Amino acid sequence: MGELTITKHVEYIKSLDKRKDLETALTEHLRMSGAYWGLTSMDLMGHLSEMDKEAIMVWLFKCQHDSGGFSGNVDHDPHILYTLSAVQILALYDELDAIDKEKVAAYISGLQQEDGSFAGDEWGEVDTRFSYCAICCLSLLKRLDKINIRKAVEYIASCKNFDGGFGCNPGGESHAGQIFCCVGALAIAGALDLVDKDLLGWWLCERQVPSGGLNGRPEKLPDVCYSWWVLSSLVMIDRVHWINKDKLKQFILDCQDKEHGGISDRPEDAVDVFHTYFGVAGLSLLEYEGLRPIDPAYALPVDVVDRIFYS
Amino acid sequence: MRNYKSYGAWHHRKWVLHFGLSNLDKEYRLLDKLLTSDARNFHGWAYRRFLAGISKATEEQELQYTIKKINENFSNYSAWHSRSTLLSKQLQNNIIEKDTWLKVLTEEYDLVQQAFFTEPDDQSGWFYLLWLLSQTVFPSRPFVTGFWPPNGHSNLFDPNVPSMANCNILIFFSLPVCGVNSETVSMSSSSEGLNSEFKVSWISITDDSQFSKGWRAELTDCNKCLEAGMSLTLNVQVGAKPGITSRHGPLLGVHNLTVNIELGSSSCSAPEKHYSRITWPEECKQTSKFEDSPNDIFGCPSLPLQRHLEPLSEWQEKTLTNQINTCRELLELENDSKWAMLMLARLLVAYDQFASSSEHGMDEVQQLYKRLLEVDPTHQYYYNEQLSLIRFHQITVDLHESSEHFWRSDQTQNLWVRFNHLSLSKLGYFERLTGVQNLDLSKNKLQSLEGIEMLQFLVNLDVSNNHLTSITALRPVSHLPKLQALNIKWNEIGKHMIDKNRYLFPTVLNNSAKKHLKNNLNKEEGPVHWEVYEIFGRMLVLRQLDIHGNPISENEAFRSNLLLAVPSLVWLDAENVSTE
Repeated sequence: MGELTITKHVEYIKSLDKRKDLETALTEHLRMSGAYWGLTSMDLMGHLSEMDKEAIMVWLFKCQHDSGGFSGNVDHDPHILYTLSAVQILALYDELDAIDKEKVAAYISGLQQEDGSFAGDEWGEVDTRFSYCAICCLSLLKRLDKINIRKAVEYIASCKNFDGGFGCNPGGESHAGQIFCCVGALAIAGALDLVDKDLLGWWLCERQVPSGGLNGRPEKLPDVCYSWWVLSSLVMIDRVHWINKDKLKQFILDCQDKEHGGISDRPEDAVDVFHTYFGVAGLSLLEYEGLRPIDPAYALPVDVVDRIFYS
Repeated sequence: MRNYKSYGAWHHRKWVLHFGLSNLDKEYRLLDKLLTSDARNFHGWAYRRFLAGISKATEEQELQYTIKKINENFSNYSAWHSRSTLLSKQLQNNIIEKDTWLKVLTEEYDLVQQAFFTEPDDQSGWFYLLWLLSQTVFPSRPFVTGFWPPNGHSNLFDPNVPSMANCNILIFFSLPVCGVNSETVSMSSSSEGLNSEFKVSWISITDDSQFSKGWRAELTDCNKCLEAGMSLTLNVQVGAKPGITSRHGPLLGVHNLTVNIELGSSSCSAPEKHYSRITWPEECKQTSKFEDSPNDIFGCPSLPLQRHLEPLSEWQEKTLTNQINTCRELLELENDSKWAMLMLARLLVAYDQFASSSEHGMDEVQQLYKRLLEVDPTHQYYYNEQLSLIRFHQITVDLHESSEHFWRSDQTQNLWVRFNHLSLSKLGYFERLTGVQNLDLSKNKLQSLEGIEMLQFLVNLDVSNNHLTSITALRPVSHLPKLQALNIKWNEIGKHMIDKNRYLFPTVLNNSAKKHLKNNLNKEEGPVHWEVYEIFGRMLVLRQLDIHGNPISENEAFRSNLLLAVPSLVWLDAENVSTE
């Protein structure tokens, strides 16, 4: 079994801040999510203290808009995706009390549609990803009662497919990313009994290909990010033993750049912070020794979640 | 549109169309081009649904499109998926009549057959076939799977004997249901001197949510009505009025049972003041002969599930047999086809469950799963679970055959069951064991006790030497109202940092926590503390607990929380911890 070169990955994430390349520019609009991926990875590896908390907080608050929502970066428009990422970062740093939770809750509840679904922003795109963002974010803020939970759950249930999986909207094909969002949302809302665990569990465990990696839907290539989306879904419904954990571990470890740090989507490809996070989070769910445990529904370290809900 | 996978671009296109800056014809042509070059692009398929909505395309037209895509390439999961939604919609909107639906299914079976004969390794057709099977055999509406006491048998009730002091009636359903109450389940009695109608309250055996597979009624009026030696006959009708429903639809059928209740006149003295440890008696090793039908004593009579419904229809029988033969044919051509083997195993199990004749199929199913273990080792846990279920079925279906596992104590009439050392990794068929008081599942490979809450009469449970990985894995056990002795030694509780059961029951994490039973919570509350109260704290008559061999048993905080949470505890491991 290979080894996770934690020190290299720590250096890689710390270096991201100073980069001025094309990729960084092209992903400027989603920097809030990028920050969440980097910081959570650091926390799982036990090195969160090496990031500049103060600078990050200053930048984060510049991304909050009057509506209560957060944007992906300074001078960008607010969106539910980046609102969730911002709240997750605040949770990591135990700074949830530094924001006006009512305002953020109002922004999110304003995005709920009549059928229970959620739009991503004022321009109206609807997707079950946004249902997850809404439910996860409001639950972390202890304001889940600000939305119509029953309708939200009903909408998600209406996206259930013949194979037990979930799509972006009703009638949408099952996709591991959407499945994570729907299963995670149902888990947080206490409605996992709506999931046919054996049927979905089988579909999910069939994502494992001979190389040990996981794909996102049938006949597609494996990708490290599915190590999170498929794996966390399996953990939430207690069917994770249906995949070969050792082979998956080995696949993720093979996707590392052991020289320069970072993890890529599959072996030998270029690394990025997105796949670095999903690789580390996946290994955490596989109980890789040396990593701290992550909560499969909130996608935050277990002690962060426990701190919010149990004290 | 250069990037076919951009969410934003597709959303923008809808906006553009809204302003009349394009037209439907153009959009359909663009989509055709895209789905020809990338038939799996889900944005494209979603956009097609959007256009279909605007252009008022019928489901029939869209179904034609899916046929076109499938004929181009059978390995088109997106097209098969689309078919499943379109057909379901047609059925839902009553565009297809019930009889036509059978014809439609037959055609779908023919269509999918072509797919998996052409490309047996491709998943798409097989997942679709699995769906067709579920439409053919498994009713999505719930039905009654069993009840206690078994039809016609007496429920002995004796206020002097603690374990028989409550008169319970239990009903089990195939799916979690709600709406079980004294309106939807009527009870009347023809015995003299009694009110002809009984009002009882029904509670779910898991008080977790509105929906549950098991419901229990306590007849507390009994002792008022009966004198020693008297018996009472109750007629119970499940589904008397509509209202019992699962998330998928209302109860199928109405079920009648008769319950006899006798007030025992035991000369049993007052209950023991000193609780002595329950151990498995020596006579466990001897076999015991049953004169009457053991199945009727241990649980509900072990008949196929479909007993409460009509037997397999001619069409169902023909369809299942056809599919079984097709899979066998395919296996002759491709001996190692994992999908053909798996599908055949599933078909045989489905057939066996519902057919009136017995289980020759089970040997073949076992062979198939053993072969699958060789051909597809990645999924060994899944195949071993299926083998485990078959094992469980074999040893519970005819207790005469497997009498070395079962016996009844002559003195107390208690029922003892021993299923240790059987490599069981998954439990099932609980309706066959409803009346059991003592169950030994030690030295198996269980990592979940899902379903064990159905055994409402369990007093003594041994799950030592298994693979339970957390306190939360014991949640099903916390629903057993009579449990006095629990052995969980040599499991893995405290060893794992990831909890797989965290979201499977109400907690603070999933916004469903109920008010806690006890309020003497310490200042230092953490999740372990909370779990001890939420799981062990519900075991109200637990006297005896064995936890040695789990890493968590060394944890002092855990032990002290345990003693606070379970005041009834007398023995913790071999130590007397009673506070009396």
